[in-house]
Amino acid sequence: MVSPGQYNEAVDKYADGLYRFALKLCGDRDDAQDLVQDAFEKLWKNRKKVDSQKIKSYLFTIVYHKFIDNYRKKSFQASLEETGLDPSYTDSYSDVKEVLQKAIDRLPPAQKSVILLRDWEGYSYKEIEQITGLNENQVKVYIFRARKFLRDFIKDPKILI
Amino acid sequence: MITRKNYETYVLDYLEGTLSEDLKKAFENFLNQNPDIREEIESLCDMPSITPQQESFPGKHRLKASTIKGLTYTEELIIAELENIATPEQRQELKYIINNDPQIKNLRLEYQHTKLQPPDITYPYKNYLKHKVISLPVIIKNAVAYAALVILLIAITTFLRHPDRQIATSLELRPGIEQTFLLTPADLAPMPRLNRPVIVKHNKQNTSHHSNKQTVTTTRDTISSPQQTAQIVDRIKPKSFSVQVPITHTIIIHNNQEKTKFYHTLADLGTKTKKKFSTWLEERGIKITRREFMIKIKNRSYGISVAGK
Repeated sequence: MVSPGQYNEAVDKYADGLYRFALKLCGDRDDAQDLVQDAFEKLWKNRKKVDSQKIKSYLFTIVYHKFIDNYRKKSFQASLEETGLDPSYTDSYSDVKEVLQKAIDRLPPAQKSVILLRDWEGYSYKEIEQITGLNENQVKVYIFRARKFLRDFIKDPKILI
Repeated sequence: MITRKNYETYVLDYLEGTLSEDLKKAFENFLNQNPDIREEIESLCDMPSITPQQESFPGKHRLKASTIKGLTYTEELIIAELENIATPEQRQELKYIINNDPQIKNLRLEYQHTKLQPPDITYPYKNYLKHKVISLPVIIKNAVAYAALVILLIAITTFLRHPDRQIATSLELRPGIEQTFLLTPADLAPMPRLNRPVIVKHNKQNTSHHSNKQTVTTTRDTISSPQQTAQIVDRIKPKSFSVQVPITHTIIIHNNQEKTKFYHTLADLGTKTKKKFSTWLEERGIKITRREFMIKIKNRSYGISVAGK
């Protein structure tokens, strides 16, 4: 059970992190804001059922699944059209952070989600498992592969073009 | 009989202590009689024993297989260490590998760069997400004041809902009656620097012909100087469109920046109503983007809220 006070506290505590996460996942401010609003709307509607100790993971779970749903729909639409490579990826890179940001954007959605949850939010493998619905081994494999991808990209951004 | 000719066959067994007692005594007597041979044998005892060397294969880690496809065994160890899930044995092994292979040290450094730092981004509409919290003691304390407020609100609502009354802040639709509204470019113009949503009001007309319609636009903020309006209209140039709404909800059009203010209002609508409204928009060629309450005209987004029955 989440009281209105706890709900408002959750807005203060988690809205920023949730927005960062959503923004990095979908890359569009409006879409990210919608995802955050959806998550809080759902929390408010289900506040009597939600465990107040699990508000944060509840919110991230909603954003993650909503994003994956939207992504699948968009992927389906995109597969019907021809898509070219983003020319910005052929630019030269000046520092590691910048390269890393580009690299994250190129990760597959599931890998991107788990590594953001791990590094930005500090979730354990077990918690990520609960949020994403993946099993613990899948979470581990996704994180390890994402790190491999990021490392290869940092080393030579052009090899992956 | 042990002699200087055959003594060598007994030396090794003597040194290893495998001679029988009789032979041992006989061999020691022989040594006593031949001190030069005793000296030679004693020098053999001082020789260091030959033991197997502690040699290990230097590139064992390169031969091992990773449990994760696409990664090497060493990479798996490095990431496990970075993820803080490596066992003590794995840490020990990695330490050994790094000490013996300088390239792995660099690889480990590269992997350390993959640890992501959260950017400093904040969510801009936190206040719109919040709900009012009223504690019980406050309610009891101010019971009389609240009662008075409720009565006042009921009175105001009753007054505003009178059929002949125009609600100044919204475009109101009558239940069950098909009504036509003309939205002009000025109505859809984004309102600069306003601190609350601008809502347009239209006079209802029962005719379906545009030219006969009278459109009255009022806003609650003053942007209505002819020059300013003309500038805004000129900038966005949306097509005027008429809407015929046989549904029983108030429609409020506002610019994109204000959408969150209406969010909860829209969220309270039932699925059927939402769908009905979406269909209604689609039938009129209005592109619905992202959420049901967004419309796009000439590549600019406007919010539409549907509120109250």
